[in-house]
Amino acid sequence: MAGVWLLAGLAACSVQEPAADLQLEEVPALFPDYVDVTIPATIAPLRFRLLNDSAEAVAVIASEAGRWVVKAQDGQFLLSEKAWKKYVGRSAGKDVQVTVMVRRQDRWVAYRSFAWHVSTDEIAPYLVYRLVEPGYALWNKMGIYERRLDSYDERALLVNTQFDHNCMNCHSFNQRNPRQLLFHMRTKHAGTYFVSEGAVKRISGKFSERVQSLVYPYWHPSGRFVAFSTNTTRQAFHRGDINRVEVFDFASDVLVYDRERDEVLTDSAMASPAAFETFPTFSPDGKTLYFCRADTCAMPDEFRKVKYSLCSIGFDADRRTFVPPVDTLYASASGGKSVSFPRVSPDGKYLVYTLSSYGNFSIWHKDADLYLLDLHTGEHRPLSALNSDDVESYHSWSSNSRWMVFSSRRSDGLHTRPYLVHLDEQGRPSKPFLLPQACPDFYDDFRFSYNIPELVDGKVELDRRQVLEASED
Amino acid sequence: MRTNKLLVAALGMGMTVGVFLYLQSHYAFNYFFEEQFQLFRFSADYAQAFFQRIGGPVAYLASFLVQFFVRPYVGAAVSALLFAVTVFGLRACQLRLSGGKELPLAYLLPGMFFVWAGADVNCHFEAGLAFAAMAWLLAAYVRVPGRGVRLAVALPLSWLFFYAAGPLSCGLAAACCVVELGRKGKGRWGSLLLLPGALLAPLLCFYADATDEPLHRLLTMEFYSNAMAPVSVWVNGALVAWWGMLVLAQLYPLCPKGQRPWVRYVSWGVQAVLAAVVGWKVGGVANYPQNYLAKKLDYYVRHERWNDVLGEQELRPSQNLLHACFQNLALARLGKLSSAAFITPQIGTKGLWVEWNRSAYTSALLSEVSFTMGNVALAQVLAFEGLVASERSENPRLLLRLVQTHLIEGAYPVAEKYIRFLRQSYAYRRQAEAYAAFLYNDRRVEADPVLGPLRRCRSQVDGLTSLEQAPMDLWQVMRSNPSYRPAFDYFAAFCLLSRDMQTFGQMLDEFRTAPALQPMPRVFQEVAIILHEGQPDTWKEYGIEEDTRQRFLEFRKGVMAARRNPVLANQLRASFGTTYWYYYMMKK
Repeated sequence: MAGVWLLAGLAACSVQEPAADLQLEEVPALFPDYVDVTIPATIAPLRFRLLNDSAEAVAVIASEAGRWVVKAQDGQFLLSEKAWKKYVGRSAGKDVQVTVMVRRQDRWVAYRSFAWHVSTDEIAPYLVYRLVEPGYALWNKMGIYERRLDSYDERALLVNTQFDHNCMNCHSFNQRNPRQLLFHMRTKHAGTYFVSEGAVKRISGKFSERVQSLVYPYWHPSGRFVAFSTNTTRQAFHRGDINRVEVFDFASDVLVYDRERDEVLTDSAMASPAAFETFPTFSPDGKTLYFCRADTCAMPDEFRKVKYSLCSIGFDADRRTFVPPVDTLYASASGGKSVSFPRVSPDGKYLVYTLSSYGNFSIWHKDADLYLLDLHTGEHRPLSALNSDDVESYHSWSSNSRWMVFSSRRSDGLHTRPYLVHLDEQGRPSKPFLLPQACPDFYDDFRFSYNIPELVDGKVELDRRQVLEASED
Repeated sequence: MRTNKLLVAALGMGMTVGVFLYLQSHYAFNYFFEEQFQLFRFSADYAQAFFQRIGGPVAYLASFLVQFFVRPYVGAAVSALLFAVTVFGLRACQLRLSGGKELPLAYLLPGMFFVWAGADVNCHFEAGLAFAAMAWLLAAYVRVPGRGVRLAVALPLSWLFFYAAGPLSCGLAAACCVVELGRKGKGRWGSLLLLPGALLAPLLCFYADATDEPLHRLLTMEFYSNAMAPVSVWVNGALVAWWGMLVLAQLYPLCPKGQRPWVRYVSWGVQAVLAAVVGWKVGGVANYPQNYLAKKLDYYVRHERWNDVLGEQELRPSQNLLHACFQNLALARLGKLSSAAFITPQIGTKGLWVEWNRSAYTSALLSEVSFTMGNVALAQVLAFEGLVASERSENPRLLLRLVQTHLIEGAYPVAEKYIRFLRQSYAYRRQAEAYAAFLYNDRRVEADPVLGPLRRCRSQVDGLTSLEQAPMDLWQVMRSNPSYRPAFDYFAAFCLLSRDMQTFGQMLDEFRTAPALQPMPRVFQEVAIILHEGQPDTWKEYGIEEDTRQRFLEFRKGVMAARRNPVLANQLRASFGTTYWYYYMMKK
């Protein structure tokens, strides 16, 4: 880290802008690919490296604030945070032009310029995710981390080395509120931990013979209720398929947990033995509960036949009841594919979901892509700008519904990385960009996956000591 | 006793050589085993990860040294040298505290714990380094004139030591207290403040969330052990011996003076011999034979020394599932599994595929077996599980296996990632470079004598599998690549050991013209005869040779004769004991 900062500092020193001897038609090949992306004004500098050129190079960043020339260090452009704020951070609503020039045989060759569109829309200041190796049955070190988006600072919120190397997962915030969240711990200190206004409470998640643990969560905006699924999950391996792992449910239901009364509410529409129900999510007003539903099949033999539809049912928080009928927003029978991870934008206009050819554990399905449903018109469309040849799966919204973070394995097909993307008011996405790091090579050597990335509106208030105490109760 | 410096040096060298010879002959495989659980990388981010954490600097040095344990003799040499450095550091402390009187047993014993710890992979090598550093720091401390200066230095020194080496800093601070309390003069009781002062460092780190370690590991010697295994006793034992030395050294000046020189020399000699005897005895106990054998077998497999596996005297394949699995793997790799499975000691079909117990050790073994079977999917799964099950999620041996499986599968970006790690290492750089040539080059992969056949073993595999289904998966492997003999060998072994003639027959019917079975292996012919005993006309279809046919006729005659005259049973065994006919009909 010290070396990176030193290099960044050196890079920030005054560098002469060379005159281009030759102009190329193509844009440079960069990693990460930050060509023509839309970024928030407060994002940390987009440090990148040239993929195919190791020659002497400079980047000329032109904005209303002036021209900023950055010299590459071993092909890496380590843009300084201070200069970034001046030249890019204050360019909200405008485009910043970036021209990369490389020196080849004493001539300066300029690539075609590309733009960074600096949005006026603000993004949440923090991103929270779990870091875990992309494994199967075993795990080693894992933790839940918080990253500031305006810098490269990352802070560990919880690390399993302090909890007997157990498993912790499914962190979830109430409408991106950093003071109200929950997460699960498995094996040791098992249970669901609720953190609210500084207090930590653990529940076992066992409510009946059928409900032995709580899995996928989603908060009701009131904070009183939380929708969960309860799943009996198994894992198997493909002998030769590119998807390598298959995770499927033998049984699953959706329920709503009432925190005040410590009770679960359910309905036959969401807890049928003839169906797999999972991935609940509330609408921003809390009046609708969306979930995924599939007819049961003989598992594991018929795993490819399991296809989830996207359904919804009304929810009356005052009466603590569900309001039928169940609507089907995407029918897997006619659509032919399977839905997972539905998430409604905070303004209530859109619902983004993951679609794959079958099943629900879409992070292991290379054909998994993101789709958008316009909740007013009922139109479904693929978010083509976000999708790639590999997995796009988990996603979450920012509070203003203008930014999303989503998980993708496009970089190497195994390790999940977080991408940020801007959507306009019509739900049209711009080109996504990889979460920037202090060193452009960071992801090359990083062996952990970013799991459940969630945009959060403030610094998370979580006292590890209190969690430790709750875990030992 | 002021000993001649030359004599001390000579004795020290002799001791080091002696310890080296002992370790090389009794502990060598421990070092090879330990090395595979770390991957020292010459990269800035690898170094940064160490220097950003408590105990990182010493752990970095330990990782640097351990990487060389992959080479023969290095582990024993480094451990012997570390022992010598520790002993001399402790001796320097002890002599100063005891007024120059030698107590060899006292300063030899603490270092011996780290020699014995070499048998315990869960005791981190950096524990020994930290202990040696602590000894020398104390030796320097006791030579600082003036209590005020010493106390002023002690607290920041303990904090710095905590950062560099971990909670042994509290041991250092406590030792400084003992030293001060043992010396008369003003302010000695004030030295007791060193203890809470030293504890401040770990407490502050924990409560300021500056570390991911739990508090109990920051305050105890657990820090130097694998957090996911039972606590290793060696560091605590060394500390107790260390305290013993300090106390004895402080008390020794109270002993009656004026001993004759020969008494001192005899005492020295007796203590040294006693230390050697204790070292030998406890070393034998610490290096538990079954564990050591397991590490030896692991080493042989890793280096494909199959004949060494089979030649291992302590191998007990009829009593130990792991031993059987090692034996059968070696037989398979030598192309002898199907012909030898039923004539070597066995424990049943579970000795072909042991149950996975979620450990790195079993994962590595089963990954090896899967790879041999041609089951690339399971070889990869198990390699990854073994990597994750390794304490630091580092295991270059399994990374190499992952490189192989990803190249076979055509998952080149992931293979490239693993190759990049290995390229940054000392011991695996060349292998990584060799594998890099296969990246994004399907033709080269397919032409490779190891990777190519395994890629063909995947050509028709489909559906889901699990670890329990590995034997069943062999059907698909054989169908995908009928030239891949090890798959047939393993399949045959499963059938032969369980006497499942029906399944064997189905395989024969489907694959009798498979290239892997041309010419039909002898034992396959023998089974074909069993299956079609009454149909000699069909024997030719199964490639049964005339020799085999004649031999079977003789065997049948021999069986008849033995039934009439039991004395001839021995003759039957002598003549036909290596045939499957004998096994199937005569053995229980």
